[in-house]
Amino acid sequence: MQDLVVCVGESCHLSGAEIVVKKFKELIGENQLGDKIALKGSFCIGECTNKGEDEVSVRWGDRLFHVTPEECRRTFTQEIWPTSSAAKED
Amino acid sequence: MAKVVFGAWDDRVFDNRGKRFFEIEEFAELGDFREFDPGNRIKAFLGGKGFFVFDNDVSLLCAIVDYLKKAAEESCGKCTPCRSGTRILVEKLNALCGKSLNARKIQEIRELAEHIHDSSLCGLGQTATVPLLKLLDEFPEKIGEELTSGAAKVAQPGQSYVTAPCIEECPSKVDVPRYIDYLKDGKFTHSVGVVLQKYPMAATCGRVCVRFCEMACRRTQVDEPVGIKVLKRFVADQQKYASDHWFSRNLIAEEKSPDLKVAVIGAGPAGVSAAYHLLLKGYQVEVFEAMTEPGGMAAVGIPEYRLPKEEILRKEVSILEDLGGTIHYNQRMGKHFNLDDLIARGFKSVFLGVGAHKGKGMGVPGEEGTMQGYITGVKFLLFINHYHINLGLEMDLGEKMVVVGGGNVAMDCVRSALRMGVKEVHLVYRRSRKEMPADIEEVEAAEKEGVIFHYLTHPTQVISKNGKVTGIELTKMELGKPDSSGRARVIPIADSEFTLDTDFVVPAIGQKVDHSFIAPDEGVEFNDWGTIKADDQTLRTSRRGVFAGGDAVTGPATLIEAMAQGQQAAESIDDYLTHGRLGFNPDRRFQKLLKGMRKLQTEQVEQPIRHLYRVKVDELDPETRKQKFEEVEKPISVEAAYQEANRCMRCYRVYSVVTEK
Repeated sequence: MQDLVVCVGESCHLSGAEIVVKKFKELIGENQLGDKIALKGSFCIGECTNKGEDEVSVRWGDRLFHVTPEECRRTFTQEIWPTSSAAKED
Repeated sequence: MAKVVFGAWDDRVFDNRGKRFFEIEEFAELGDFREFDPGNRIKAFLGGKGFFVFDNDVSLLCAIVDYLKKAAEESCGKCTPCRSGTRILVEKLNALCGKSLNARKIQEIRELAEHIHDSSLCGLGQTATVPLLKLLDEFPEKIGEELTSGAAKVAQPGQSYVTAPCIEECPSKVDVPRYIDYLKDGKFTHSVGVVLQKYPMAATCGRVCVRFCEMACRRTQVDEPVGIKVLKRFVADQQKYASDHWFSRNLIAEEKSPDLKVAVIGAGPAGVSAAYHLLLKGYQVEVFEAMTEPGGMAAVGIPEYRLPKEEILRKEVSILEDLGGTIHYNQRMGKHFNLDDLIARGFKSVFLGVGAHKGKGMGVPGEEGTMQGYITGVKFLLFINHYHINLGLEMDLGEKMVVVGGGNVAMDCVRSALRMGVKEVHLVYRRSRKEMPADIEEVEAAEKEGVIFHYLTHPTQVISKNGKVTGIELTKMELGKPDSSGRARVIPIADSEFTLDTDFVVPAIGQKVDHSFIAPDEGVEFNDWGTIKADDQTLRTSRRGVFAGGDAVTGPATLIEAMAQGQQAAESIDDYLTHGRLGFNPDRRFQKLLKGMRKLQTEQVEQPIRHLYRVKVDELDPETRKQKFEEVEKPISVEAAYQEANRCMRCYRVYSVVTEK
């Protein structure tokens, strides 16, 4: 089980964190990864000043992404899924 | 400001008939009784405790007949003295007119009036004959004067208003005794209907209302106030939170022209209530909500264990859609659109119900800048409700949390934190327990659930390391002399600083309006304390066609006040769109008159009442409930509801004024 942490602090909330959460939830469901990836929320992971206005901070292991709601699918399929333990099992 | 020529109220008698008008002193306790609406003088006022005459040429007998007629109209008919007695009394008084004074007839009238006063079952009959009795007791010669002068035959313009102490205290003026009456009769649908006349969120209000009505309940003098909130929840739940098929476009009496579109900003209690009343009046309404959920502060600021969102709040808000309204989610004003865009899109009027969602900081060193582990109370509740409850997101909040503040938001924060799995939750409040503004029920619940309270303690510094909160420095306080507002000052005790290690610091010490929804050049002005400037009678803002209500106008307040303002704004918008100007509402004028004479309204219970204590509401066991967000208060049984409804004394009162025109 690996944690995918979406920042839901004030800045990310205003940038659409809830849409990002919904998108990731869908993606995890679509790919049947519910038992491999745990979606979690965190109050401010301290990236507010590094990210763009419409971006939401996401922590995946020791990596940080700044995603817009539109970029969720690309980030998930190209960055997150390939480095998950589930991908290694396959 | 009122000059009483003569009158009798409660146990006081006023008689200035011998004086010239300028010699009469102002009777300050009465408030402003000079005019009813602009240019229309009040000549006399009658109420459940007596009457005041401000102009000697008024016919008091006539005014009393009109007053009794109104009471007879309002009579529920369940007891004979009130139902028939008032009507017979009106006939007898009418029969007096045009004849000379007959002492035997007057005696008959007095006996009947006393009988109605003593033997009616509820407040309506018990007070209906008071003005007449006061006249007979204190000014017996006045009747003869009026009969011989022929004044008693003249019809006089006037207005009347029926209310009760609980109704008057309720910001939305819900007819409380009426819905309790319907409940007594087993007519639950009718009962909910009474509430739905005022706002669509009956089950929500039955769970979280702060109950101004119960504070005014006269039953308190006998034993305990009637459980008005519990009963409202009971009937609303019985009816499955307002059934789906109740609401449709068919309910709307008169469709307004489709180009009269109104935009409502914010789907919180104020916005929902405004949209509901506008839809019922036949307008096209579109609601714009910044979040993906409806309910505003009720959705994000009230924890799930007090108000289940899915089956109650969302369902009650969906009434708007049943009525033909549209709600656009994820549309934040000031980000996705602005006021001018709305006007350009054809909206003729706009209601701003944006709330007060911005938390205040503590003003101590170490809290500036973005920091992990620091979040204001209202945001904390918002995120828990929104991301954890609604979206099912897991959250790690660490082991320890310190919440600062003593209001209801602070209580909601500590109780929610326990439910999120935080092991040690501290609450810091700078005064002592009895000064805490939070509801005592909430404080007791938090104590039971294991929150650690630090009274007379104040934060002095937030301690952090590498941008992450690690602790908070606190100082012990002591209570000093009261300040000008009567509250005891708090003085820090020297060298009493101590530090609490914590992963989270949550200041819950108040909220303000977030101004980002509007630009300064858009014509909507703010008050010095940051709320939207709006006229208190009409709720119009400084920009034409734009109205505002709820927390955005009042500052952080309650659900019921916001819903009341939503309704008030809807009435103003209706006036604005139909007449182009704002009209006069006689009921609101009466409410203002009654508010002004509050000091004269002390209500003693005179009739003997059997003691019967209020129904106890069962709660989930504290150990179980602190692990989950399940609703804490359980519903009451049908038997308990009937018993509780029977405790209501129906303290209806009729008030009327005689005016110049």
